[in-house]
Amino acid sequence: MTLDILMQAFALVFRFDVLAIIMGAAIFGMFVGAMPGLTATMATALLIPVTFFMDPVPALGAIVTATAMAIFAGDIPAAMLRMPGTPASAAYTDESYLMGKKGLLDLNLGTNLVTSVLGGLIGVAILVLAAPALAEFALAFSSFEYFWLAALGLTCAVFLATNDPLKGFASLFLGLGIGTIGIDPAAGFPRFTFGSVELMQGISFIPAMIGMFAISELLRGVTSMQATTEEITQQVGNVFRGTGAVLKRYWVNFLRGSGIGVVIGALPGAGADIAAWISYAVSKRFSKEPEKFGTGHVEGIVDAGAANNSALAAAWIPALVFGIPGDSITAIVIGVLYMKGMNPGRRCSSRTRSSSTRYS
Amino acid sequence: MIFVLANLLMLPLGWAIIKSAKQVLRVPKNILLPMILIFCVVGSYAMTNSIYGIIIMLVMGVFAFMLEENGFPVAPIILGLVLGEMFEQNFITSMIKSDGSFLAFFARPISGILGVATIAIWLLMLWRMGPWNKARRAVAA
Repeated sequence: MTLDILMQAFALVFRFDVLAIIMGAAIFGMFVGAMPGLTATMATALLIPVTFFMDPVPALGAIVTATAMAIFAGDIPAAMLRMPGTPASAAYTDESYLMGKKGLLDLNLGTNLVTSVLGGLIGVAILVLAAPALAEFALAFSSFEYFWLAALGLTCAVFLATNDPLKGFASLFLGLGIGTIGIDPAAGFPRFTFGSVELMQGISFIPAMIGMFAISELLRGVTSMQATTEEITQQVGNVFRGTGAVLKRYWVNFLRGSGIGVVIGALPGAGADIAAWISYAVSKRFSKEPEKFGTGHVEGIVDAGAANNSALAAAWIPALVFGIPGDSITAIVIGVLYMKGMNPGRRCSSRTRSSSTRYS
Repeated sequence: MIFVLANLLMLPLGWAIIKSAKQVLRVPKNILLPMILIFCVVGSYAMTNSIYGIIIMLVMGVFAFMLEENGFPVAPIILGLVLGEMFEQNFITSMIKSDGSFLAFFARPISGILGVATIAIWLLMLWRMGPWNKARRAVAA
């Protein structure tokens, strides 16, 4: 990476309109993440129609910012209401809530915030370092390699996303089947269109995705409408007090959590929520005082809080280099990039202009 | 750059939202959910400029809800939709290039490694599903 490219990236990002969009997206992400039941994926789904009419840089920036915020903000209702705001916080919801009950709400939220920020930064650092090297490597790829990469991505989605591979495969083949509707990409022959002109363009990806992630969440929200929310009684004080001491004491946990997050995030198909579960389990396994876990102990929160944000950033590595999504958020983004005529992966990485976009 | 900025912005904004979380969490569901529904409808209409998009969205939404209630994950469907076309196109291109020979998928070094890795994962999954796997049987029983 040369300084020149970095300067170009600066020029692309530090414009008033871009910064304003990022700010707006950040507030939106925070709000969505903090509402129990609204996920980071849903934030992306709702943002896509808005970003579709923007330039690629602010559009990507909006999505990246909103998702990062949403993943952190999911920790807040977890601690206050014992309801995770996003699935990525589910791994340590009980722990957070119990900490709040012990009167450690400030410390807990502060730890969540700081580990989320630092974990995210580590994920980004690895993304910036690893992506160009991998992109170089990807230049040698031909259709054979891309075939296997796609196969690997599809397989990992099933392997990691569920513990019941049979149901995972059923869903996967449903998705592939729905994907065949429309014009055959190789021969241009219409398939499964039943003479309908509208079906010739295929099942439009973005409406399908909005429906799957947002409407299904809505229906679930309606079915659990009667659930009463508890009043939050505790006052929030200075959230940063004591956070430094926690980080100093558990820096090994923090680094381990971030590392696990990066690896899981970079694997196709597994995202922030799985990273949080696994790093929480690892933290418990290697802790000197595992008996404290589940009683409102900060150690596992350091691990998992860092892991879910670093996984979020690392999920962009396969997405930007190979065009294979690292999680459901990047899956949506790749779909959008294709529609915008930017081909993530080989063509994108070989041009200087796009490489400066990548750094930005 | 945006990634770094996004993460740094989280610090002040995160602090602000923690302070205001009490108010945010008090928004009742019967106001919030219809608002989201409106966003969904507007969004999918804007994407396709036709009612067709809204129909797809609603049908897929109900479909996904039923699947998830019965324990089927939704993420593989989205991946299938996104990667399906790339998968098919690369497969057809490769088959044309190699004159219909499946061995060509293993002829190049990187391709070969990826192929073996993929098949290994398939076999591992089959192994875990098999009736000879005691751990699984214990869970089922």
